[in-house]
Amino acid sequence: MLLRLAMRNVFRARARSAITVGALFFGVAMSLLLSALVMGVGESLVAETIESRVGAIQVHRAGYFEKRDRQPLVFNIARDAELEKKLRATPNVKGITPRITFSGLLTNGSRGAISVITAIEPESVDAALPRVNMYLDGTPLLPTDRNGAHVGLELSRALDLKPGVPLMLQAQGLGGRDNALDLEPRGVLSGQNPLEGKRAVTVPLAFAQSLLGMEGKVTEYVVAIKDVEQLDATSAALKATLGSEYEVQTWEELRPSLRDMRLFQRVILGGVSLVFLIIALFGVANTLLMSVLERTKEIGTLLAVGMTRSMVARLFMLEAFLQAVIGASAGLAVALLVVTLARNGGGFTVSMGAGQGFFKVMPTLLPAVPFIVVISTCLGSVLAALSPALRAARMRPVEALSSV
Amino acid sequence: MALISLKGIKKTYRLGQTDVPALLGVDLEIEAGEFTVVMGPSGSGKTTLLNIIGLLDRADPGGSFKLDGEELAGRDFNEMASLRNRKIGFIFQSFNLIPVLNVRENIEFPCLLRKEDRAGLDRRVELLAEEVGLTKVLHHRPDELSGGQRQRVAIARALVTQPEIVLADEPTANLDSATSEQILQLMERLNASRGVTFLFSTHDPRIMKRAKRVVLMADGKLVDGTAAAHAETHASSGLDHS
Ligand SMILES: Nc1ncnc2c1ncn2[C@@H]1O[C@H](COP(=O)(O)OP(=O)(O)OP(=O)(O)O)[C@@H](O)[C@H]1O
Ligand SMILES: [Mg+2]
Repeated sequence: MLLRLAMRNVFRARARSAITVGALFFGVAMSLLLSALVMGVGESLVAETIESRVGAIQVHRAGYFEKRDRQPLVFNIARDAELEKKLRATPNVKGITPRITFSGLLTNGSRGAISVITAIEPESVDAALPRVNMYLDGTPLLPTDRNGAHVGLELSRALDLKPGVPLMLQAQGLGGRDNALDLEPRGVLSGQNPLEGKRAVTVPLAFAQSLLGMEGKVTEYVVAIKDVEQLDATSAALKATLGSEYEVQTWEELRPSLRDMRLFQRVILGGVSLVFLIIALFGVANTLLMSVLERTKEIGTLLAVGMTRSMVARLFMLEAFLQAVIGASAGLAVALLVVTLARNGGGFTVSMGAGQGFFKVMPTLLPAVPFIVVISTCLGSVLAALSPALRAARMRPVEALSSV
Repeated sequence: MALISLKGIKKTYRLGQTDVPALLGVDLEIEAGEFTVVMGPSGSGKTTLLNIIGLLDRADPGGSFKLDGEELAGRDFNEMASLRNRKIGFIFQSFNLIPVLNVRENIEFPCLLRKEDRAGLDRRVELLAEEVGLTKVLHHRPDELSGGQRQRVAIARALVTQPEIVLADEPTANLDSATSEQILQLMERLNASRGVTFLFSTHDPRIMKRAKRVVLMADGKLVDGTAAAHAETHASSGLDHS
């Protein structure tokens, strides 16, 4: 009965209810859309990291991280079918690929630049880094390619790179001796951050192995996982299977700044949403107070025919709750619709500035976000209604009845 | 035993620093089935008295107020609400219907408040609506009704709980004289057919003429509790003073 009364009261003062419902609608829709957009940016950055460069998890020989600056090649892993089988068999592992990362001097005959080289195995790289060629302008490295190279955009400009003009890569091999081999540019890697673009070079694994004297050896395995939420669990499972001879790192450990950025993003989003919510709740409290004052005589009547104070309070809180449910569900519906349409349309592309590359954003709503926003809006409205509702409940029947 | 028994009921309003005495010790007994009118000049304390009997307000401590032999002074707010709901019906000068509820819902409202079964309630509401002449408008909202119809809804709402007493503070003051007459006849009929106890306050001499019993008030006291026959002269002289 209270519910029916509350429902009718909500629809009675249409204009006023529309303001409250509208404020809540706006708050919820804006929070969700903003969250979808910002999360989308964050998730694209993370996805790009996981799927094109860092990978979800990396496995190295124990000690690699401590010593990699001085002796990056000493802590290598001999390729071994048994080990690769163990990696693949770990739950949630989607695929693996071996790599060697090292540094060297890339020259075009007249000029040279210190580069960071990643040697990939073309046969298996897609299994672990499906987006490795996402920003490639050129042709991918093929399994048969012995000496192709992809060069970062800024580096290729610095070296005046042209197709067909050979390059030379010089590096210190495993035994400590310098060695140099010719390379042919196959493409340019854009869409990375400019600092990386200044140094990044990708070459075939076999090329690096012969350059460095590392036949049959790699410095790391990149592991892709199926469920990205299970990152830590998968990392723990790998540690358990591989034992202390190897070290296992997640992308969050490898790129703490990206992890922190994502965390920071969420905190800021939470804060902004909270501000939206508080503004909307002030609206709820205010319009409800107006309604209480306007309906003083009616409250007197309700008390006269025997309503208790707690029922009066519950009536007004219920009205606020209903408005919140209506406003929040409408906001949720609109936000979901917009996000779905945007995703079906392929998301959108954010340019990083002229010649700086671009990246794709898929608006992303984690399932928990709409849940939290809607629940907190409804609960918040009930809380905001508390003071006006108590004011109504505390009225003395005689005074309420004698008001006009 | 009297249905209602008041002894030494006093009421003082506090207006800022000053005390406004409204009732200066009222003794009154009302028997079940009576049709009683309280008359008196403006400010004599009629509304104050009805509010206290209706448990809408409390008298100053010290007096005694018994309903059905049960002492009601000093009850807490929720007990008063429950007593109002079960034992007292109200008819207000300005009808006081719930605007968002239709006629049927307004009438049954007090019964739903006390979680009465739906079974039987519908039938009771329909009988009552027929008795007060609202059968055709049961699904209308109050703002679609005339003043007389609205007051009939209020009467039906006051009676639906089968209260011990129905209190009506100037029930005809917002109605034209023909409608007032009809409402009055309706209440008389309900008093006769159902034995409902009515207590009115009014300025309207016509009501006074038809009352079985008239109570006169002046300056917060009962002037005379005698029968209707004497009342007319007292009342008119009382009105002349004001
Ligand atoms: N809330 C209040 N605060 C202060 N004084 C009040 C209040 N209500 C009534 N009074 C005073 O109490 C006295 C009795 O008032 P009451 O309303 O009971 O008279 P009444 O007989 O009903 O008058 P009327 O015929 O005008 O309705 C008056 O002097 C009035 O001014
Ligand atoms: Mg009065």
